[in-house]
Amino acid sequence: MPADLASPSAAEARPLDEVLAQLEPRLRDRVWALCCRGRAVPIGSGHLLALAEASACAMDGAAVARLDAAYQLALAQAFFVDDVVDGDVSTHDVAVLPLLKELELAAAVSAVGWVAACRASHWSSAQALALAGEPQAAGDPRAFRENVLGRSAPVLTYFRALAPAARTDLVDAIEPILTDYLILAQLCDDLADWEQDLLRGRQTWTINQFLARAGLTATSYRHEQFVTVVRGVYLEGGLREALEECASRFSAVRGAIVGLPTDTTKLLRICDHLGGLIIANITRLDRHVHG
Amino acid sequence: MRLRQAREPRNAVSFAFCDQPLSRRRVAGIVGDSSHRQPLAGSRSAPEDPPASSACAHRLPRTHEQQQTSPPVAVAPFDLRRSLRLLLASSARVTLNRTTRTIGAEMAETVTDERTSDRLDEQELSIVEAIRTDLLPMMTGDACGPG
Repeated sequence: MPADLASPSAAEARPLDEVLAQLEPRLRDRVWALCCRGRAVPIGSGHLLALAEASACAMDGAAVARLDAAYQLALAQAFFVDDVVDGDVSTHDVAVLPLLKELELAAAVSAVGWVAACRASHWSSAQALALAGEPQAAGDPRAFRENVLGRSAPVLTYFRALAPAARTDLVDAIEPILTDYLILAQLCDDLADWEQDLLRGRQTWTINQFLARAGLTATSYRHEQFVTVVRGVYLEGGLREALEECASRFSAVRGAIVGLPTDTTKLLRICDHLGGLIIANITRLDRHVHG
Repeated sequence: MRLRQAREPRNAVSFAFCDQPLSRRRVAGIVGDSSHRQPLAGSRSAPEDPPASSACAHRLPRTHEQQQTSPPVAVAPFDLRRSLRLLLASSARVTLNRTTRTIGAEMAETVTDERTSDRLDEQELSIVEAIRTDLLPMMTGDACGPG
């Protein structure tokens, strides 16, 4: 991997590094770059480790690390497919996708055995592939929730792969918290992308909220009204309201994690990362609006 | 959704899924030179229209090494001023070409000057752009799933 990408969180990236060490150097660098998506460390690093810690998973540490690597590879595929669906991909890395799947499966097999690995690997991609192309179910809360869970297939399926070796009561307690966190993460992401989504004709929960503020609906909206919606979002409080909603959900999720009778240090770190962004954005927005 | 499942034997298959690095031939087929590369089927991006370098305010700047090793994804930038200009152009009709369609995708291909009163004025536009550029990414890939 490029040396400057190894820091500052090289330790957290080690599980994936071990898997990629099997590859020819040029290919390894390319897969590494795909998994990082322009960031310093691969996306998803440590999520499975955090869930294993919180669920008191008795699985061998090396096995959990490989499951974490498999999850990172699955996540890289899901992100890539999402970019293809969004029309944002202009490189030719699609040729690497089968290799990512092969590596994911191999790493998962070494961690949890063939049957469980096949199940996790299959569902981690099948759900994401099936749902990534569907319009977001923006009007119905239950449909929105199902859509988010489908798009979050990699983390959910690999969490399930951890479950047999984890404490059942903790798994049952973590599952709804994880679901709420994933919905929060999706809302945050939709908030970051809302203009592009609106111009592309995609419906999201966030967009529906913004349109409603302008007295519009997804069906009545025309692109001629784009500027009206922009004004409502940035200059008339729409964004502030959406951020406050996210902050409220974050507080609830964080409180639930803190309430778990287990070690949640790593899980809290992941949650706080997103919460920190939400709070920082509220502060920044206030600075612009109120001077 | 129940997360319990039957306990299964672990490590049934060795991690040595690849006892030697992938063959050079296979690597050449994957890494490849430009002759191996095919446009993405179904992609709405025009391959001949690479995104501007200012793309991805939401992502870390790419390093020199990354640029040399084929950036994995190139996310199209969103340029509010450009989009507004296209949407609210005062000229009677502006036909969007293929490049600009990648920003607005299926947005209307023509705009008229009937919406002058709806425009953001320069001061409003400056505030909006200042907010947009100052906001931190809301999801950085550390949040469990693609958006």
